[in-house]
Amino acid sequence: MAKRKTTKAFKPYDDRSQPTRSIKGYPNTLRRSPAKFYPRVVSLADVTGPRFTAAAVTADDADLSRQAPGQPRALGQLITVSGRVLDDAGKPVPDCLIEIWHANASGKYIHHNDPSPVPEDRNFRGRGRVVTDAQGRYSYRTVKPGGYAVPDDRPGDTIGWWRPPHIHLSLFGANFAARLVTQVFFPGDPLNDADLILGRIPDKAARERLIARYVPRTTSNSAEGDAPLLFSHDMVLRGRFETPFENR
Amino acid sequence: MAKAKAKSTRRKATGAKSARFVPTAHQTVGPFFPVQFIRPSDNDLTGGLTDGRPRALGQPIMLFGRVSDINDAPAVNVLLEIWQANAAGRFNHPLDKNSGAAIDPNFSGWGRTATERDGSYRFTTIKPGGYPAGARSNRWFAPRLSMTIVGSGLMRPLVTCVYFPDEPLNDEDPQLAAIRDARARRQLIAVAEHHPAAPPGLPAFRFDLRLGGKQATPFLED
Ligand SMILES: [Fe+2]
Repeated sequence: MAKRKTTKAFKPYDDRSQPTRSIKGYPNTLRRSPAKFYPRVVSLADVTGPRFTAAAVTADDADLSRQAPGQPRALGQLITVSGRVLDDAGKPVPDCLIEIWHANASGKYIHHNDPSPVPEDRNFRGRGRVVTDAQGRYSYRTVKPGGYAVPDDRPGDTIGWWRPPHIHLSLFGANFAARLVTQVFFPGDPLNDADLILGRIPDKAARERLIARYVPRTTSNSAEGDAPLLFSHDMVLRGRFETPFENR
Repeated sequence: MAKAKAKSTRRKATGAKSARFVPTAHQTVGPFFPVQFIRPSDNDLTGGLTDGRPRALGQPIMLFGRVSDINDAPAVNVLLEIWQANAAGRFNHPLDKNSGAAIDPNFSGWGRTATERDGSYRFTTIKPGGYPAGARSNRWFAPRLSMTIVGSGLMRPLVTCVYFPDEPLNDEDPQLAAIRDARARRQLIAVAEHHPAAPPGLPAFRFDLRLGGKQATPFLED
């Protein structure tokens, strides 16, 4: 009973299932790349964190494919991505805020930093926010993003590769140490294998877990008139802290 | 046999192999994080100073600095997120059961901002209180903020802590004590410095971040 929690309240990430920090051919990773890391003493600051509830978002926030209900849809293949957020013990993470953004069907972001000359789409919302339910489930609707040529970072930097279609995701889990910023890709895209960002995760299984799964249509999921193509994607956040850290 | 069966049932129930519970890989946030996700009030944790929210308890302070890359060039459009205890040293979260310090309903403890073209950033917040290392421990963490840094080219979020100068608890802080290099320890302590945008009487602290090179900020293992 006197068993004491040590300061290691969560497992460090396994480097094989995380991308390398420096990527030759992606200059910003070389400019922004500490060589050394110091020991982290886990405290209440890591096992607690900001909390969000379903009240933080509206139903409109779950639809990136149009500006508002009743408005025309953006061009592109209508899709729904749904799945669960779990902790590393496989338990659902409820009330997890997920921020979502991606390029339009032509591969253009709604952002002043995107220099791409490809067309904008005024009907594309391009960003969304959802909060997981008690079972850790989430779902959002959007149009399938296009791939895009990676913009040169600065004059003289030629990066020169195409990013496969992907959706950016930012997750706030149950604690500050579980913060996750990731991307999700689409199955079968030939650009997936050549992507410098996805490709720099050493472990193949970890790479594959960033690729959404196509869900075949069934009578139960194709009822809607504008039935989208369905994809499923689960994510796992680090840490479970049912036992408060050395504290009560 | 029974064990194997139980295992296979569990696999079936969760729909995948056990590797599924490895934490999902990080990927860079990229250069196109929606500006709408950074609300103007997100870098003011105090309430009241920039809008009409009820004011949080404690000493308002400004935390500012410049984020630069390995060549000391400004790191533009880098997202900084902070998380901290309130003035009494209590985190606004159910896992902090330190009933000796009250929750401040007007203080969430979380904030976010992005660096400007010159790499600068600024938060207004409440000076945090120190907090106990644990119920069975008589050690304390000094007043500090936790900071997560994400940006284009950062393939995994960086994590660090910001401490304050002249705090008696700094000498016994378990995190500072775990950093053996005295120079690195000093780098984690913000410097009291005037900021032109700070109203009179608002203490300001500078905390610069260098994302690489010999002068790199001490980042913590993730
Ligand atoms: Fe992207």
